[in-house]
Amino acid sequence: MNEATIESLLFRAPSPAAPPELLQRLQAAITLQPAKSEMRIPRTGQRPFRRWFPTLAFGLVLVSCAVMFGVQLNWSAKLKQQNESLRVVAAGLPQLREQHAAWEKAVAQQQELEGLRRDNQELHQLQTEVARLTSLSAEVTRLREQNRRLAAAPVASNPSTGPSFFDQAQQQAERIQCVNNLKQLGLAMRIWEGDNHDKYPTSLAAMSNECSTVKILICPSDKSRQSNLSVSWADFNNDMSSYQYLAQPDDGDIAHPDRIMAICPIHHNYLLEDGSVQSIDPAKYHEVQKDGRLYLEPINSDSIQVPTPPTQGAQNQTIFMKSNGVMFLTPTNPDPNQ
Amino acid sequence: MSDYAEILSERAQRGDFSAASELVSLFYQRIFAYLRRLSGNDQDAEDLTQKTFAKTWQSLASYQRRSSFSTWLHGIAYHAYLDWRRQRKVNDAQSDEWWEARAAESPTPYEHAAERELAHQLYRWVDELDEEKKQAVHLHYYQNLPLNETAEVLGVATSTVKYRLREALDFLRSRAAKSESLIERKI
Repeated sequence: MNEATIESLLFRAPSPAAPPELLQRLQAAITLQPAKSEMRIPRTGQRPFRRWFPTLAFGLVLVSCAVMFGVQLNWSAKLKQQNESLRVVAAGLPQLREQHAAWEKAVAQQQELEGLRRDNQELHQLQTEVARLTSLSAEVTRLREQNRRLAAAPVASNPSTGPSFFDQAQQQAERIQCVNNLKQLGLAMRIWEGDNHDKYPTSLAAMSNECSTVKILICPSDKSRQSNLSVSWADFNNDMSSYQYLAQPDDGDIAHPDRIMAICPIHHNYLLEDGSVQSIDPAKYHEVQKDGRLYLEPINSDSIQVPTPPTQGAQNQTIFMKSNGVMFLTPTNPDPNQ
Repeated sequence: MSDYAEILSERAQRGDFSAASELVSLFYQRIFAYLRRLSGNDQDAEDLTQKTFAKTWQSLASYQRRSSFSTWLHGIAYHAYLDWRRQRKVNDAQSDEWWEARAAESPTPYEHAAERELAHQLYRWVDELDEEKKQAVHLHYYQNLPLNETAEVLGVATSTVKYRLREALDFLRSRAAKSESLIERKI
Protein backbone atom coordinates (compact mmCIF):
# COMPACT_ATOMS: atom_id res chain seq x y z
CA MET A 1 0.00 0.00 0.00
CA ASN A 2 1.49 3.33 -1.03
CA GLU A 3 1.23 6.66 0.71
CA ALA A 4 -1.33 8.09 -1.70
CA THR A 5 -3.67 5.20 -1.03
CA ILE A 6 -3.28 5.67 2.69
CA GLU A 7 -4.01 9.38 2.45
CA SER A 8 -6.98 8.72 0.19
CA LEU A 9 -8.45 6.27 2.66
CA LEU A 10 -7.79 8.63 5.56
CA PHE A 11 -9.53 11.48 3.76
CA ARG A 12 -12.50 9.18 3.16
CA ALA A 13 -12.78 8.16 6.78
CA PRO A 14 -16.39 7.55 7.86
CA SER A 15 -18.09 10.38 9.64
CA PRO A 16 -20.47 9.22 12.39
CA ALA A 17 -23.85 10.83 12.24
CA ALA A 18 -25.02 12.90 15.15
CA PRO A 19 -28.28 11.96 16.89
CA PRO A 20 -31.22 13.87 15.42
CA GLU A 21 -32.26 15.39 18.74
CA LEU A 22 -28.77 16.84 19.35
CA LEU A 23 -29.38 19.74 17.01
CA GLN A 24 -32.45 20.82 18.93
CA ARG A 25 -30.65 20.56 22.25
CA LEU A 26 -27.74 22.58 20.98
CA GLN A 27 -29.96 25.27 19.52
CA ALA A 28 -31.95 25.42 22.72
CA ALA A 29 -28.79 25.90 24.73
CA ILE A 30 -27.62 28.99 22.80
CA THR A 31 -26.94 31.83 25.23
CA LEU A 32 -25.59 34.86 23.47
CA GLN A 33 -24.02 37.74 25.38
CA PRO A 34 -24.41 41.35 24.36
CA ALA A 35 -21.74 42.63 21.99
CA LYS A 36 -18.83 44.59 23.42
CA SER A 37 -19.46 47.53 21.17
CA GLU A 38 -22.88 48.06 22.73
CA MET A 39 -21.41 48.05 26.22
CA ARG A 40 -18.95 50.81 25.54
CA ILE A 41 -19.46 54.07 27.38
CA PRO A 42 -19.94 57.00 25.04
CA ARG A 43 -17.14 59.47 25.24
CA THR A 44 -19.20 62.53 24.56
CA GLY A 45 -19.42 64.75 27.62
CA GLN A 46 -17.12 62.47 29.64
CA ARG A 47 -13.56 63.18 30.81
CA PRO A 48 -13.02 66.62 29.22
CA PHE A 49 -9.37 66.65 30.23
CA ARG A 50 -8.72 63.44 28.29
CA ARG A 51 -10.53 64.85 25.31
CA TRP A 52 -8.62 68.12 25.34
CA PHE A 53 -5.32 66.63 26.38
CA PRO A 54 -3.70 66.64 22.89
CA THR A 55 -4.61 70.29 22.38
CA LEU A 56 -3.44 71.26 25.84
CA ALA A 57 -0.16 69.35 25.39
CA PHE A 58 0.50 71.02 22.06
CA GLY A 59 -0.28 74.45 23.53
CA LEU A 60 1.99 73.75 26.48
CA VAL A 61 4.83 72.82 24.16
CA LEU A 62 4.27 76.05 22.18
CA VAL A 63 4.30 78.17 25.34
CA SER A 64 7.45 76.41 26.53
CA CYS A 65 9.16 77.11 23.22
CA ALA A 66 8.15 80.77 23.41
CA VAL A 67 9.51 81.08 26.94
CA MET A 68 12.77 79.42 25.97
CA PHE A 69 13.06 81.72 22.97
CA GLY A 70 12.58 84.77 25.18
CA VAL A 71 15.14 83.57 27.69
CA GLN A 72 17.66 82.97 24.95
CA LEU A 73 17.05 86.43 23.52
CA ASN A 74 17.66 87.94 26.92
CA TRP A 75 20.91 85.98 27.34
CA SER A 76 22.02 87.04 23.88
CA ALA A 77 21.43 90.71 24.68
CA LYS A 78 23.39 90.41 27.92
CA LEU A 79 26.27 88.70 26.16
CA LYS A 80 26.38 91.46 23.54
CA GLN A 81 26.51 94.11 26.22
CA GLN A 82 29.25 92.27 28.05
CA ASN A 83 31.19 91.90 24.83
CA GLU A 84 31.04 95.65 24.21
CA SER A 85 32.29 96.44 27.70
CA LEU A 86 35.14 93.98 27.27
CA ARG A 87 36.14 95.63 23.99
CA VAL A 88 36.30 99.00 25.72
CA VAL A 89 38.43 97.53 28.44
CA ALA A 90 40.68 95.80 25.92
CA ALA A 91 41.53 99.19 24.37
CA GLY A 92 43.50 100.17 27.49
CA LEU A 93 45.09 96.80 27.83
CA PRO A 94 48.74 97.79 26.98
CA GLN A 95 48.70 100.49 29.62
CA LEU A 96 47.26 98.06 32.12
CA ARG A 97 49.98 95.57 31.26
CA GLU A 98 52.66 98.18 31.90
CA GLN A 99 51.06 99.04 35.21
CA HIS A 100 50.86 95.41 36.08
CA ALA A 101 54.53 94.87 35.22
CA ALA A 102 55.50 97.84 37.38
CA TRP A 103 53.39 96.53 40.19
CA GLU A 104 54.95 93.08 39.92
CA LYS A 105 58.42 94.64 39.96
CA ALA A 106 57.57 96.64 43.09
CA VAL A 107 56.20 93.54 44.73
CA ALA A 108 59.41 91.64 43.90
CA GLN A 109 61.54 94.43 45.35
CA GLN A 110 59.41 94.49 48.45
CA GLN A 111 59.82 90.74 48.85
CA GLU A 112 63.58 91.03 48.34
CA LEU A 113 63.73 93.75 50.96
CA GLU A 114 61.77 91.62 53.39
CA GLY A 115 64.17 88.76 52.77
CA LEU A 116 67.17 90.99 53.40
CA ARG A 117 65.61 92.20 56.63
CA ARG A 118 65.07 88.66 57.77
CA ASP A 119 68.66 87.77 56.88
CA ASN A 120 69.93 90.78 58.80
CA GLN A 121 67.89 89.85 61.82
CA GLU A 122 69.13 86.29 61.65
CA LEU A 123 72.70 87.55 61.35
CA HIS A 124 72.27 89.62 64.49
CA GLN A 125 70.93 86.59 66.32
CA LEU A 126 73.87 84.53 65.15
CA GLN A 127 76.32 87.16 66.32
CA THR A 128 74.66 87.20 69.73
CA GLU A 129 74.81 83.42 69.86
CA VAL A 130 78.50 83.46 68.88
CA ALA A 131 79.26 85.91 71.66
CA ARG A 132 77.41 83.77 74.17
CA LEU A 133 79.19 80.62 73.02
CA THR A 134 82.54 82.43 73.18
CA SER A 135 81.92 83.38 76.78
CA LEU A 136 80.82 79.84 77.55
CA SER A 137 83.97 78.49 75.92
CA ALA A 138 86.09 80.74 78.08
CA GLU A 139 84.18 79.58 81.10
CA VAL A 140 84.74 75.96 80.12
CA THR A 141 88.42 76.60 79.66
CA ARG A 142 88.61 78.24 83.05
CA LEU A 143 86.70 75.38 84.70
CA ARG A 144 88.95 72.83 83.05
CA GLU A 145 92.00 74.64 84.30
CA GLN A 146 90.53 74.83 87.76
CA ASN A 147 89.64 71.16 87.68
CA ARG A 148 93.11 70.20 86.57
CA ARG A 149 94.59 72.33 89.33
CA LEU A 150 92.31 70.86 91.97
CA ALA A 151 93.05 67.34 90.79
CA ALA A 152 96.77 67.93 90.97
CA ALA A 153 96.69 69.88 94.24
CA PRO A 154 96.70 67.02 96.85
CA VAL A 155 99.47 65.17 95.09
CA ALA A 156 101.49 68.29 94.70
CA SER A 157 100.99 69.55 98.22
CA ASN A 158 101.39 66.21 100.15
CA PRO A 159 101.99 63.02 98.19
CA SER A 160 102.07 60.88 101.39
CA THR A 161 98.57 61.73 102.57
CA GLY A 162 97.23 58.25 101.61
CA PRO A 163 94.77 56.83 99.16
CA SER A 164 92.29 58.93 97.32
CA PHE A 165 88.58 59.06 98.05
CA PHE A 166 87.86 56.32 95.56
CA ASP A 167 90.53 54.09 97.06
CA GLN A 168 89.04 54.65 100.48
CA ALA A 169 85.57 53.81 99.22
CA GLN A 170 86.90 50.67 97.58
CA GLN A 171 88.61 49.62 100.81
CA GLN A 172 85.45 50.29 102.79
CA ALA A 173 83.40 48.23 100.37
CA GLU A 174 85.86 45.35 100.59
CA ARG A 175 85.78 45.55 104.40
CA ILE A 176 81.98 45.37 104.37
CA GLN A 177 82.11 42.47 101.94
CA CYS A 178 84.57 40.71 104.30
CA VAL A 179 82.19 41.19 107.23
CA ASN A 180 79.37 39.80 105.12
CA ASN A 181 81.48 36.76 104.20
CA LEU A 182 82.16 36.04 107.88
CA LYS A 183 78.46 36.43 108.69
CA GLN A 184 77.55 33.88 106.07
CA LEU A 185 80.33 31.64 107.31
CA GLY A 186 78.93 31.81 110.87
CA LEU A 187 75.45 30.96 109.56
CA ALA A 188 76.84 27.99 107.62
CA MET A 189 78.66 26.78 110.73
CA ARG A 190 75.45 27.02 112.73
CA ILE A 191 73.58 24.97 110.09
CA TRP A 192 76.38 22.41 109.97
CA GLU A 193 76.31 22.10 113.74
CA GLY A 194 72.54 21.54 113.73
CA ASP A 195 72.92 18.74 111.22
CA ASN A 196 75.92 17.07 112.98
CA HIS A 197 74.98 16.54 116.64
CA ASP A 198 76.09 19.98 117.85
CA LYS A 199 79.62 19.55 116.55
CA TYR A 200 81.49 22.17 114.55
CA PRO A 201 83.09 21.15 111.24
CA THR A 202 86.72 20.14 111.18
CA SER A 203 87.50 22.59 108.39
CA LEU A 204 85.97 25.27 106.22
CA ALA A 205 86.08 22.96 103.24
CA ALA A 206 83.74 20.55 105.05
CA MET A 207 80.87 23.07 104.79
CA SER A 208 80.44 22.73 101.05
CA ASN A 209 76.74 21.89 101.42
CA GLU A 210 76.06 24.79 103.77
CA CYS A 211 78.02 27.47 101.92
CA SER A 212 76.49 28.73 98.68
CA THR A 213 79.88 29.39 97.06
CA VAL A 214 83.59 29.41 97.77
CA LYS A 215 83.56 33.19 97.32
CA ILE A 216 82.46 33.67 100.93
CA LEU A 217 85.72 31.99 102.07
CA ILE A 218 87.95 34.51 100.28
CA CYS A 219 88.35 38.09 101.48
CA PRO A 220 87.97 40.56 98.59
CA SER A 221 91.08 42.40 99.81
CA ASP A 222 93.17 39.24 99.72
CA LYS A 223 94.65 39.81 96.26
CA SER A 224 96.88 36.72 96.47
CA ARG A 225 93.83 34.42 96.71
CA GLN A 226 91.54 36.02 94.14
CA SER A 227 92.48 33.25 91.73
CA ASN A 228 90.80 30.77 94.10
CA LEU A 229 87.39 32.27 93.39
CA SER A 230 87.05 29.97 90.39
CA VAL A 231 88.08 26.81 92.28
CA SER A 232 85.34 24.22 92.75
CA TRP A 233 84.38 22.76 96.12
CA ALA A 234 86.00 19.45 95.21
CA ASP A 235 89.42 21.09 94.79
CA PHE A 236 89.09 23.54 97.65
CA ASN A 237 91.16 23.22 100.86
CA ASN A 238 91.64 25.35 103.96
CA ASP A 239 94.84 26.97 102.68
CA MET A 240 92.88 28.50 99.83
CA SER A 241 90.67 30.46 102.25
CA SER A 242 91.59 33.93 103.48
CA TYR A 243 90.08 33.29 106.88
CA GLN A 244 91.66 31.47 109.82
CA TYR A 245 89.29 28.82 111.17
CA LEU A 246 89.60 28.37 114.95
CA ALA A 247 86.52 26.33 115.97
CA GLN A 248 87.03 23.03 117.68
CA PRO A 249 85.08 20.07 116.28
CA ASP A 250 84.01 18.64 119.62
CA ASP A 251 82.54 21.85 120.98
CA GLY A 252 79.29 22.72 119.25
CA ASP A 253 77.10 24.26 121.93
CA ILE A 254 77.10 28.01 122.45
CA ALA A 255 78.67 27.90 125.86
CA HIS A 256 81.12 30.68 125.03
CA PRO A 257 79.33 33.06 122.67
CA ASP A 258 82.24 35.54 122.60
CA ARG A 259 84.79 32.97 121.59
CA ILE A 260 86.57 33.65 118.31
CA MET A 261 85.59 31.23 115.52
CA ALA A 262 87.22 32.75 112.46
CA ILE A 263 89.53 35.67 111.75
CA CYS A 264 90.24 37.87 108.76
CA PRO A 265 93.92 38.83 109.27
CA ILE A 266 93.65 41.61 106.70
CA HIS A 267 90.72 43.57 108.11
CA HIS A 268 90.94 42.25 111.66
CA ASN A 269 87.31 41.08 111.44
CA TYR A 270 86.44 38.46 114.04
CA LEU A 271 83.59 35.95 113.77
CA LEU A 272 82.41 35.06 117.27
CA GLU A 273 80.56 31.93 118.31
CA ASP A 274 77.24 33.78 118.67
CA GLY A 275 77.37 34.57 114.92
CA SER A 276 78.32 38.23 115.24
CA VAL A 277 81.26 39.77 113.42
CA GLN A 278 83.45 42.35 115.15
CA SER A 279 85.74 44.74 113.33
CA ILE A 280 88.51 45.50 115.82
CA ASP A 281 91.27 48.09 115.93
CA PRO A 282 94.39 45.98 116.59
CA ALA A 283 95.93 48.87 118.47
CA LYS A 284 93.27 48.61 121.14
CA TYR A 285 92.47 44.88 121.27
CA HIS A 286 94.43 41.72 121.15
CA GLU A 287 93.67 38.00 121.18
CA VAL A 288 93.86 36.13 124.44
CA GLN A 289 93.89 32.34 124.80
CA LYS A 290 91.95 30.82 127.69
CA ASP A 291 91.18 27.13 128.14
CA GLY A 292 92.37 26.46 124.64
CA ARG A 293 90.00 29.09 123.22
CA LEU A 294 90.72 32.55 121.81
CA TYR A 295 88.97 35.67 123.03
CA LEU A 296 89.27 39.40 122.33
CA GLU A 297 90.62 41.55 125.12
CA PRO A 298 91.39 45.30 125.29
CA ILE A 299 94.97 46.24 125.70
CA ASN A 300 94.73 49.23 128.09
CA SER A 301 91.45 49.30 129.99
CA ASP A 302 89.41 46.64 131.80
CA SER A 303 86.07 47.72 130.44
CA ILE A 304 85.67 49.81 127.39
CA GLN A 305 82.79 50.16 124.99
CA VAL A 306 83.70 48.96 121.57
CA PRO A 307 81.87 50.49 118.60
CA THR A 308 80.20 47.69 116.76
CA PRO A 309 80.36 47.50 113.02
CA PRO A 310 77.09 47.84 111.14
CA THR A 311 76.62 44.13 110.63
CA GLN A 312 73.38 42.20 110.83
CA GLY A 313 73.00 40.22 114.06
CA ALA A 314 75.36 42.53 115.94
CA GLN A 315 73.15 45.56 115.80
CA ASN A 316 72.04 47.00 119.12
CA GLN A 317 74.81 45.02 120.82
CA THR A 318 77.75 46.25 122.80
CA ILE A 319 80.95 44.49 123.78
CA PHE A 320 81.73 44.80 127.46
CA MET A 321 84.98 43.66 129.03
CA LYS A 322 84.48 41.89 132.30
CA SER A 323 86.92 41.67 135.18
CA ASN A 324 88.27 38.36 134.05
CA GLY A 325 89.35 40.04 130.81
CA VAL A 326 86.82 38.17 128.54
CA MET A 327 84.67 40.25 126.17
CA PHE A 328 80.96 39.53 126.03
CA LEU A 329 78.27 40.88 123.78
CA THR A 330 75.21 42.29 125.53
CA PRO A 331 72.17 44.06 124.05
CA THR A 332 72.11 47.84 124.30
CA ASN A 333 68.63 47.74 125.83
CA PRO A 334 68.61 44.48 127.75
CA ASP A 335 65.36 42.94 128.85
CA PRO A 336 64.83 43.93 132.53
CA ASN A 337 63.23 40.56 133.23
CA GLN A 338 66.43 38.66 132.51
CA MET B 1 -18.93 28.00 3.83
CA SER B 2 -16.08 29.78 5.48
CA ASP B 3 -17.20 33.26 4.52
CA TYR B 4 -20.75 32.38 5.36
CA ALA B 5 -19.61 31.12 8.77
CA GLU B 6 -17.70 34.35 9.36
CA ILE B 7 -20.74 36.43 8.54
CA LEU B 8 -22.88 34.31 10.82
CA SER B 9 -20.36 34.53 13.62
CA GLU B 10 -20.24 38.32 13.32
CA ARG B 11 -24.02 38.45 13.50
CA ALA B 12 -24.00 36.09 16.45
CA GLN B 13 -21.49 38.33 18.20
CA ARG B 14 -23.98 41.16 17.86
CA GLY B 15 -26.59 38.91 19.51
CA ASP B 16 -28.36 37.46 16.47
CA PHE B 17 -29.90 34.22 17.75
CA SER B 18 -30.87 32.94 14.32
CA ALA B 19 -27.27 33.32 13.14
CA ALA B 20 -26.06 31.34 16.14
CA SER B 21 -28.66 28.65 15.38
CA GLU B 22 -27.47 28.52 11.80
CA LEU B 23 -23.87 28.13 13.01
CA VAL B 24 -24.91 25.15 15.10
CA SER B 25 -26.61 23.59 12.10
CA LEU B 26 -23.50 24.11 10.02
CA PHE B 27 -20.92 22.68 12.43
CA TYR B 28 -22.55 20.30 14.90
CA GLN B 29 -22.19 17.25 12.62
CA ARG B 30 -18.43 17.82 12.13
CA ILE B 31 -17.78 18.55 15.78
CA PHE B 32 -19.82 15.53 16.86
CA ALA B 33 -17.97 13.28 14.39
CA TYR B 34 -14.61 14.60 15.59
CA LEU B 35 -15.46 14.05 19.23
CA ARG B 36 -17.18 10.72 18.53
CA ARG B 37 -14.03 9.34 16.88
CA LEU B 38 -11.94 10.51 19.82
CA SER B 39 -14.18 9.69 22.74
CA GLY B 40 -15.38 6.29 21.56
CA ASN B 41 -19.06 6.46 22.48
CA ASP B 42 -22.10 8.46 21.51
CA GLN B 43 -23.06 9.69 24.94
CA ASP B 44 -19.68 11.24 25.71
CA ALA B 45 -19.50 12.68 22.22
CA GLU B 46 -22.90 14.33 22.74
CA ASP B 47 -21.84 15.75 26.08
CA LEU B 48 -18.60 17.04 24.67
CA THR B 49 -20.39 18.59 21.72
CA GLN B 50 -22.75 20.42 24.05
CA LYS B 51 -19.86 21.61 26.18
CA THR B 52 -18.05 22.79 23.08
CA PHE B 53 -20.94 24.90 21.90
CA ALA B 54 -21.66 26.20 25.38
CA LYS B 55 -18.06 27.36 25.63
CA THR B 56 -18.37 28.83 22.16
CA TRP B 57 -21.28 31.06 23.16
CA GLN B 58 -19.46 32.08 26.32
CA SER B 59 -16.35 33.06 24.43
CA LEU B 60 -17.94 34.41 21.30
CA ALA B 61 -17.66 38.00 22.50
CA SER B 62 -13.89 37.62 22.71
CA TYR B 63 -13.54 35.98 19.29
CA GLN B 64 -11.38 38.40 17.31
CA ARG B 65 -11.14 36.50 13.97
CA ARG B 66 -7.46 35.88 14.06
CA SER B 67 -8.38 32.46 12.61
CA SER B 68 -11.44 31.13 10.85
CA PHE B 69 -14.53 30.30 12.87
CA SER B 70 -14.13 26.63 11.97
CA THR B 71 -10.58 26.59 13.34
CA TRP B 72 -11.62 28.43 16.47
CA LEU B 73 -14.51 25.99 17.02
CA HIS B 74 -12.27 22.97 16.50
CA GLY B 75 -9.81 24.47 19.02
CA ILE B 76 -12.57 24.69 21.61
CA ALA B 77 -13.61 21.09 20.86
CA TYR B 78 -10.02 19.94 21.10
CA HIS B 79 -9.56 21.52 24.53
CA ALA B 80 -12.93 20.19 25.70
CA TYR B 81 -11.78 16.73 24.69
CA LEU B 82 -8.45 17.22 26.50
CA ASP B 83 -10.27 18.24 29.70
CA TRP B 84 -12.61 15.28 29.43
CA ARG B 85 -9.72 12.90 28.74
CA ARG B 86 -7.73 14.27 31.69
CA GLN B 87 -10.71 13.75 34.01
CA ARG B 88 -11.73 10.34 32.70
CA LYS B 89 -8.23 8.91 32.04
CA VAL B 90 -9.83 6.55 29.52
CA ASN B 91 -8.26 4.45 26.87
CA ASP B 92 -9.92 6.00 23.88
CA ALA B 93 -8.87 3.44 21.31
CA GLN B 94 -11.89 2.50 19.26
CA SER B 95 -13.05 -1.06 19.08
CA ASP B 96 -12.75 -2.93 15.84
CA GLU B 97 -16.48 -3.41 15.66
CA TRP B 98 -17.11 0.27 15.74
CA TRP B 99 -14.79 1.03 12.86
CA GLU B 100 -16.18 -1.93 10.99
CA ALA B 101 -19.69 -0.66 11.45
CA ARG B 102 -18.69 2.84 10.43
CA ALA B 103 -16.95 1.53 7.37
CA ALA B 104 -19.98 -0.55 6.44
CA GLU B 105 -22.45 2.31 6.80
CA SER B 106 -20.15 4.87 5.27
CA PRO B 107 -21.73 6.55 2.26
CA THR B 108 -18.27 6.75 0.64
CA PRO B 109 -18.12 3.86 -1.80
CA TYR B 110 -15.17 1.52 -1.46
CA GLU B 111 -14.03 -0.10 -4.62
CA HIS B 112 -14.21 -3.61 -3.23
CA ALA B 113 -14.29 -5.59 -0.05
CA ALA B 114 -10.52 -5.74 0.23
CA GLU B 115 -10.30 -1.97 0.26
CA ARG B 116 -12.96 -1.83 2.95
CA GLU B 117 -11.01 -4.30 5.00
CA LEU B 118 -7.85 -2.28 4.45
CA ALA B 119 -9.60 0.97 5.48
CA HIS B 120 -10.92 -0.73 8.55
CA GLN B 121 -7.41 -1.79 9.55
CA LEU B 122 -5.99 1.62 8.72
CA TYR B 123 -8.40 3.44 11.01
CA ARG B 124 -7.60 0.98 13.73
CA TRP B 125 -3.87 1.64 13.32
CA VAL B 126 -4.50 5.36 13.50
CA ASP B 127 -5.92 4.83 16.96
CA GLU B 128 -2.68 3.10 17.93
CA LEU B 129 -0.70 6.26 17.22
CA ASP B 130 0.41 8.40 20.10
CA GLU B 131 -1.87 11.27 21.05
CA GLU B 132 -0.09 14.06 19.21
CA LYS B 133 0.13 12.24 15.90
CA LYS B 134 -3.40 10.93 16.26
CA GLN B 135 -4.75 14.45 16.80
CA ALA B 136 -2.90 15.65 13.72
CA VAL B 137 -4.39 12.82 11.61
CA HIS B 138 -7.91 13.38 12.96
CA LEU B 139 -7.90 17.10 12.33
CA HIS B 140 -6.14 17.09 8.99
CA TYR B 141 -7.52 13.96 7.34
CA TYR B 142 -10.76 13.15 9.13
CA GLN B 143 -11.88 16.76 9.67
CA ASN B 144 -10.33 18.05 6.43
CA LEU B 145 -8.65 21.01 8.10
CA PRO B 146 -5.70 22.56 6.23
CA LEU B 147 -2.27 22.23 7.72
CA ASN B 148 -2.14 25.78 9.06
CA GLU B 149 -5.54 25.47 10.72
CA THR B 150 -4.58 22.10 12.19
CA ALA B 151 -1.50 23.77 13.64
CA GLU B 152 -3.60 26.60 15.09
CA VAL B 153 -6.02 24.15 16.73
CA LEU B 154 -3.16 22.16 18.27
CA GLY B 155 -1.20 25.29 19.20
CA VAL B 156 1.96 24.21 17.40
CA ALA B 157 3.87 25.29 14.32
CA THR B 158 2.82 24.13 10.86
CA SER B 159 6.16 22.41 10.42
CA THR B 160 5.46 20.41 13.56
CA VAL B 161 2.14 19.26 12.13
CA LYS B 162 3.90 18.24 8.92
CA TYR B 163 6.46 16.29 10.89
CA ARG B 164 3.81 14.52 12.92
CA LEU B 165 1.81 13.62 9.83
CA ARG B 166 4.95 12.31 8.15
CA GLU B 167 5.71 10.16 11.16
CA ALA B 168 2.11 8.90 11.23
CA LEU B 169 2.15 8.00 7.51
CA ASP B 170 5.44 6.17 7.91
CA PHE B 171 3.97 4.20 10.77
CA LEU B 172 0.82 3.34 8.85
CA ARG B 173 2.80 2.34 5.76
CA SER B 174 5.06 0.08 7.75
CA ARG B 175 2.09 -1.55 9.44
CA ALA B 176 0.38 -2.03 6.09
CA ALA B 177 3.50 -3.58 4.58
CA LYS B 178 3.82 -5.93 7.49
CA SER B 179 0.17 -6.95 7.16
CA GLU B 180 0.50 -7.58 3.42
CA SER B 181 3.51 -9.79 3.94
CA LEU B 182 1.58 -11.84 6.48
CA ILE B 183 -1.32 -12.31 4.04
CA GLU B 184 1.05 -13.41 1.29
CA ARG B 185 2.64 -15.91 3.63
CA LYS B 186 -0.79 -17.36 4.48
CA ILE B 187 -1.62 -17.71 0.83
